[in-house]
Amino acid sequence: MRRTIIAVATAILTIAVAASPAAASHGNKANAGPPDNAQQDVQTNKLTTGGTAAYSHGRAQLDRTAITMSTGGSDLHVYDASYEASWYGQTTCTDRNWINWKCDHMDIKFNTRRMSGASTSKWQSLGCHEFGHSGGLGHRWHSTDTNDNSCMQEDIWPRYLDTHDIDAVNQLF
Amino acid sequence: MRKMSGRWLRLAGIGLATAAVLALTVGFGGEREVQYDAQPESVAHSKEMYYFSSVDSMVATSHLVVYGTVSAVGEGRFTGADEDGSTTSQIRLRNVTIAISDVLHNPKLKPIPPSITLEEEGWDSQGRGYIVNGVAWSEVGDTGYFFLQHSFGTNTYSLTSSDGRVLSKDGALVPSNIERELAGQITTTQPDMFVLDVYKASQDYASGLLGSSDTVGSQPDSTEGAGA
Repeated sequence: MRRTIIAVATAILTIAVAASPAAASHGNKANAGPPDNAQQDVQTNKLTTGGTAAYSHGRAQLDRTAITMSTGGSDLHVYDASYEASWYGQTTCTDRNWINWKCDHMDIKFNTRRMSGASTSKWQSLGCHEFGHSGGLGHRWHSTDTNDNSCMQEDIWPRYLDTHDIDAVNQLF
Repeated sequence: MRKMSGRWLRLAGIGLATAAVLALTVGFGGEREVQYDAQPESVAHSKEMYYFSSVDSMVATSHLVVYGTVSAVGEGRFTGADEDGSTTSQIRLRNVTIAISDVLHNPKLKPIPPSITLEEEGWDSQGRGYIVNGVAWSEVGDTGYFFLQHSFGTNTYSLTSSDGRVLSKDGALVPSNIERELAGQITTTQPDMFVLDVYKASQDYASGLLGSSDTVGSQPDSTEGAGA
């Protein structure tokens, strides 16, 4: 009996460790995730008006995928502040699930210094972009998004995940 | 009596264990001292201010382009504290000292000291090291081209973009962000041609033939519909 239990436990552990973290790469390599499960709690931290617009829109976009968003502090933390850095937004995996090495906790940061004076539309695009990273998506360019309608593009400001992005996230779960 | 002693001993043991756990997790002073990772442990993904389609445009948008060698690295300043002073949102930059061998582009003809400080990311508020868009931390001995912008109000610089460091290794050029299309252009350029390209772009910028790039932020808002 004991041997059976040990064998089963070893098998489960081996499968869990060997399971490679799938990446919703769709032609790109960068991804902050993928997240370790399809239920993502998100917590905001005293956001500005722009940051709130980014958060609300980004969360709604990720909700269009197989990921279900809810309010709470266990998965995603969203900040905005003035960073001396040359980016508008940033997503980082801060803690990984030790079993499958997928991302357990992520930080999303919006840079109010670089987004100063930006329209609500751009804030929403940024929110979609960063929440897209939290769903495991990487950057896209015109070569991988010829109709320029994915917010995962680096150099323009679409406001929505396109169907290709949504499919890529859904493949993870 | 023996029974009571055993119970007290167990209670004392539990108390000691609890105290040890608390001491290890929050520190004796009640505040945990941040330990900064010696190596990055994750990759941050950022939407950047610049996206270059050519080395020429990166030169024209840079305030300074140098060829040099990293002589020191260390912890730098903090940035990104919340307005109320809370520090959970802040990051800590990494100071990289570059000993300059050659100045290739200095359009404002500023006096450039023998060594300059480049600021790169960095650590989060918990001391977890990370890199941005695949750009590895600069290490002592790294030699190559650095495309820089001056950081306002300081004597420090930052990379103009994640493409802004091109190292020379074993007779080849190594781009900093291999994900982007510009990396392909850089790796297929001979090192002796690359320096000539940078010089020429600098001259074209000085003569008005080449302009600096607009930021990504200056691109127009999108008008597309959802989910296409």
